Amino acid sequence: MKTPLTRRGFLAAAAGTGAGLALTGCGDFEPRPARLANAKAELPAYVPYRGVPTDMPATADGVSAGHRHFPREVVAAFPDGPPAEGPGIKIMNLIFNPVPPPVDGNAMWQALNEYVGCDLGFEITPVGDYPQKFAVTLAGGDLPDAMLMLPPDQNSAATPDMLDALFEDLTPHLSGDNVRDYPFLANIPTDSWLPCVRNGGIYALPMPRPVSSGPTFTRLDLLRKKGLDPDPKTWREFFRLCKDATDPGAHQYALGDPTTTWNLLMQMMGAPNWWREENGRFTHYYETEECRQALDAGLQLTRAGVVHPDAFSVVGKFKDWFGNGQIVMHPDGPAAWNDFYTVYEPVAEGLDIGYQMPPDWDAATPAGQWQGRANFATLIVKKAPEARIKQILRAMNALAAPFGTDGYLLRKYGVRGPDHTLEGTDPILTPQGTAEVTLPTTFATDSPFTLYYPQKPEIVPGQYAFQKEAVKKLIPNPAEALYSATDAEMSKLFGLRFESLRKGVMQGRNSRGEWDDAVREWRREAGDKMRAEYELAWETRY
Amino acid sequence: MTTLSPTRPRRSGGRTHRAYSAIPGESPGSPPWRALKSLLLLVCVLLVVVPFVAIVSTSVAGSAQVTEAGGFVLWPDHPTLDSYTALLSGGLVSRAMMVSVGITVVGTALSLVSSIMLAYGLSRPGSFGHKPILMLLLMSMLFVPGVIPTYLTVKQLGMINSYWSLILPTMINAFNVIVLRSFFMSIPKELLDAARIDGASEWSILSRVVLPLSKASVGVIGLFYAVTYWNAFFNALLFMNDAAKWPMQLVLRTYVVNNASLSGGQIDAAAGAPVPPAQSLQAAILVLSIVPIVLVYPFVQRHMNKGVMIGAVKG
Repeated sequence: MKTPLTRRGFLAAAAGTGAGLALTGCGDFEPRPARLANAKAELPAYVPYRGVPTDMPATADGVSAGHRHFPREVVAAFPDGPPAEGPGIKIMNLIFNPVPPPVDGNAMWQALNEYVGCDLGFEITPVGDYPQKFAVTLAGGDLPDAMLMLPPDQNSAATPDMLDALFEDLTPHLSGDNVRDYPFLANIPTDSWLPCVRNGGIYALPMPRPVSSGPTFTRLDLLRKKGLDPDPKTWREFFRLCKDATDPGAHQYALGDPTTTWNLLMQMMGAPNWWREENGRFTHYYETEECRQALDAGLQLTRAGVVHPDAFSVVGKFKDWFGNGQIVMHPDGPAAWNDFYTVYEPVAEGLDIGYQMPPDWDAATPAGQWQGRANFATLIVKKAPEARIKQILRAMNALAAPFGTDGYLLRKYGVRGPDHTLEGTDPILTPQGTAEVTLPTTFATDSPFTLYYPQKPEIVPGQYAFQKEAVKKLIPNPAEALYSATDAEMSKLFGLRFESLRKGVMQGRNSRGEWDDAVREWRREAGDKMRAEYELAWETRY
Repeated sequence: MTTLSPTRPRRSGGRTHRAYSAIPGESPGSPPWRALKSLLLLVCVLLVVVPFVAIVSTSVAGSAQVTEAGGFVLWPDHPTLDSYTALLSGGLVSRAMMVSVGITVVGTALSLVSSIMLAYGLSRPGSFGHKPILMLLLMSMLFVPGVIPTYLTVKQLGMINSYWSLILPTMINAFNVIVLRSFFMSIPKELLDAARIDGASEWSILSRVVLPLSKASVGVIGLFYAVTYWNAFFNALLFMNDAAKWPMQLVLRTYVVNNASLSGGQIDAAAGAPVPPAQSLQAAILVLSIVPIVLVYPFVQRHMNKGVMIGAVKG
């Protein structure tokens, strides 16, 4: 019988197909030069919203406003009716939580559509999968009206060329005083607008986050039980505190997360926040002496046994360890403060959380606080006729309604009755509300971060005090608002490698020499090119 | 057929009896050796059972116990169904379960019909387009089209946000077709010729002769398809923009990969009723997601060995 397909024939066909496919991958794309990609644009005017008085006001240097209670008189954000009536708006963004119930069974989402004046279609993707979904959607060409764009170092598809080709330059609508047509967008601080600028235009809307970043949270209740001072002033005092707080017999350790611990050590030395800029010259923290010193200090902490023994082998357990008292210090983001009380107070008796600023390394080396990203990400808007762009901007303006307005109340606490009940003037979420308000409006755009926790208003002054202290010591990342094609392409790859190596050195598995070799290789293959691009960008922008 | 063969008699408790080994000529071994084997088997069983028990226990454990344990618990002190209530109250999980069941049932049926017909065609020498179709099939095993070309195809076919996008791109699996084809080719030609002489058409031969002889292989290929459809989440991630249409596995992913009750420090989180701990929610949704497969598996399990062996010895 004749064989239907010979082995030789099959291999030949396979080779031919493979060669064809390989050739289709060839191209001559050259990224836009750094000067053009980072050209300046006139930023939106900053017009702070003064509608809700408080004794803890927002400040120009980045302190968020604090409120103990929601105002008795809720301000109507749009007294003349829904601001963005028209066709529905599709927004592709991400979520950290489980997805909320669909719109037909979600009272908050339905009310939000009525409040805005059109159907908001959220196309939600789990946070870890978002870069892939973003790239595929771009390649498919069937774009939603607006898309969340992660910063380039987390999303190599976020190129200035792509923005220019597919997305709207919002400069005519938002630059300077034009932004006053959208008063709640004008209430977003200038820092948050800086990364929205590409190609000499405003190409995105911000998702503001507090620049003060987060503190090292401390379990005051546990530290006080041992009679320890939770506020060390130097590295030596910190090390002593770590040793005194550690009790392996009781399965209690000072620290957990090796990454944030290393970040804390770097801040103790006032090390650069990723990049340092001096007279237009850029230095990455990998290259600094502080980095090598922090690695040594990390190793010292591990050898002293003050780091949780599972710290290097688990992911995502650190908050739980902090909540159940297995660790007593934990650097984290600002929003974690409220989270800790919501999740762990019902089960951790006497939970009392304090904050710690990075102690100075020594008398001659003052500490700094790494400035947090002014945005989580940005929202880009698909090219469309002017009337449609204005409608989308009006809708996003509604989603940025600040604390004290009915729009804020709806976004964060849903509808009174099904989603929240009132305790005094403060909304408290019901179980239904807890599920519904995960609708990721905060990952479209948002009002500036507000310190508010109705279940425990007495913690707000502490949060405000931390921010006031933190902004005095902020160390900014000079590259945050700039674009480097090499950084976008290579940072993830090297980031993973350095993360693993850093943990290895802190554990004693890898030597400092290996770290130095890796840094040399990074400079050769990516670092020097990144530096050149950032220096050019800095020169162009500032 | 397995036979029981007598081995050397042993004395136990004052009585003499014959010990039997399932394999002719093999001794069951000395008591210490048998004890060691039992211990080894027990360890293997525990390795499978303990994680399963931990998942079920954690799903019904109270917040305090989960927080105290800092993760999974082996036995709940005060069992509660809070996690299941929280999961099923919003309607999303129950809807996702329906979507997954629907996709699995419809997808498996379509996959089986198309794979059987394709495999039967390819098992008959000289059938129409035999060589190029076989070549195409084999090529699909060597060259996976990749995410973006697949996305573009689905988009061009107008299937974005449609349930068909979760079925059609994966409807025919080349490996499964080759396994079926191999089995169909092993059916004696004389049987088919006899049917043909009796006036049977190709359809009749397939449905009345070939398929009744191929129950085991069709059963196991059906199970492969069903498990693939049930576990798939990536296509839904790419093609389903509306979360209300997500299958169970993608919803499961948001609970397991994302932290279910903490915001990752990114959200201006609202205060509210404390939600069940993340681990309990994760465990509960894992339990919910495996229930249908656990229910179906016993009915096809008896076909597994035979079906898999067919694939193993025929290339």
